[in-house]
Amino acid sequence: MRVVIEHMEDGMSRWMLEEYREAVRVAESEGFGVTIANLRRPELAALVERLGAEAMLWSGSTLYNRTEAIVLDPWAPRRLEPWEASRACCIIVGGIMGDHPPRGRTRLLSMIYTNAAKRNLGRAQLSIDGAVKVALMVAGGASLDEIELAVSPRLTIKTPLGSLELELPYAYPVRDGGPWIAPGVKRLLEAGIMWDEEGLLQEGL
Amino acid sequence: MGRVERFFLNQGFLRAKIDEYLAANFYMAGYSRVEIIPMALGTRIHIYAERPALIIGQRGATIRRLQQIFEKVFGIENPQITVSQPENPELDARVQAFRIARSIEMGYHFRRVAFTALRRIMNAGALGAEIKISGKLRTERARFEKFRAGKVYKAGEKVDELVDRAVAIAKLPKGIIGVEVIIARPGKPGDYIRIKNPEEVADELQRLREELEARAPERPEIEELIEEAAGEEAPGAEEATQAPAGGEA
Repeated sequence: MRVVIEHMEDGMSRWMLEEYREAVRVAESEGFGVTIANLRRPELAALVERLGAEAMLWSGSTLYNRTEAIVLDPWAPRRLEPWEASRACCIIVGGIMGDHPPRGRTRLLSMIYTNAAKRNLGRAQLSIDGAVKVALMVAGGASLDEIELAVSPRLTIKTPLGSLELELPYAYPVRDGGPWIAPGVKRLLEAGIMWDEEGLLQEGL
Repeated sequence: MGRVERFFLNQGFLRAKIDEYLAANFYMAGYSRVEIIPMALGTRIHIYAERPALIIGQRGATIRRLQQIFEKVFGIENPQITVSQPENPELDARVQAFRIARSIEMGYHFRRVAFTALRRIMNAGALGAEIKISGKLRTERARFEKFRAGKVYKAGEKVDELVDRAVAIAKLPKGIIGVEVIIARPGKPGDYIRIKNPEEVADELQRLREELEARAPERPEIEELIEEAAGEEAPGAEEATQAPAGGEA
């Protein structure tokens, strides 16, 4: 099985890269390959290849729009079942940095992958790496009811100016009693994001 | 609905409409609140803002335009507008929220802005403050960041007494960022607990000690009463009742 992440943002930020890095790390540890598609620009493809994923400049629908593929879409009517996930040739995840409330851009993904089956992982909006983690757990035999999710987790962060509470309006799978957030994302949040990174990468800096 | 109820509801509705209008149009001036006082010869409208000069305008141009708007759009008879600064802008949640939103729009980092505002509020004597900034903060993924200092009431009577809350929005090219400020103004908190130093309570301790010493002679009388009561009971029962008492002593 392969995990295909359809990049659906205009640019790329460090946060997104950290989520991709975590998704690649988790998928590879389970023995699955990762393709990040629809990157559109060679410099983004080069960035993604450094993470160890296969990069595609065009949409993944050109290769993976098959009946054995599964698109993860929170708006899909049916839930992902372990037997379906284990038999799928690939699981397609939206490379979307979510809004709050969600704009429902994964519907677009379902429209592109016309032949693939559409399944949801519950109503909560998962992060990119969170969706990959949950999908792999389901493929490993766990049902969605057995997987515990931390919805809108709160983190306390200490900065040189003082401590603050940070709330992420997304869901993450729970591991070791806490939300399983990519360590790179935690580091990034602690350090603080000083500049509008999406803009910087778009300008090629 | 009776005429009296309708009159007061309309008054409240008008006040809310004017407040909304002023907050939307004078947020650069640090608009705080408005007071509408009906008088014999017209209506007095008192606007509180951090920077009154921006509401007055050059040679009163803006305030004259406002007067026309109040008269024609809101239907207020002969409005007389006065503008002044709030008593303590640092403890005014709306002023602070607008100030934070303006700073974010100007490109300052939201964490720096929030911590600076929090420090200012606390230095002004607030019991506590909470600033919540939400939206796509420097990245594509939306999140909330909450900055808190001191004590902030979220429920109960003290919310009505002490807490001031305001919401503002910063409009950035990427989207809207929400700013919520909650300030617990200085006052008498209901549940204030502090452990005093031994020096502070020395007099009180001395008084209590003297009181206890003064009560000491009363003890034999109590003991006599107990002995009398015990003497009335059977000797076997006496032993049984005295044994635990000895253990406790």
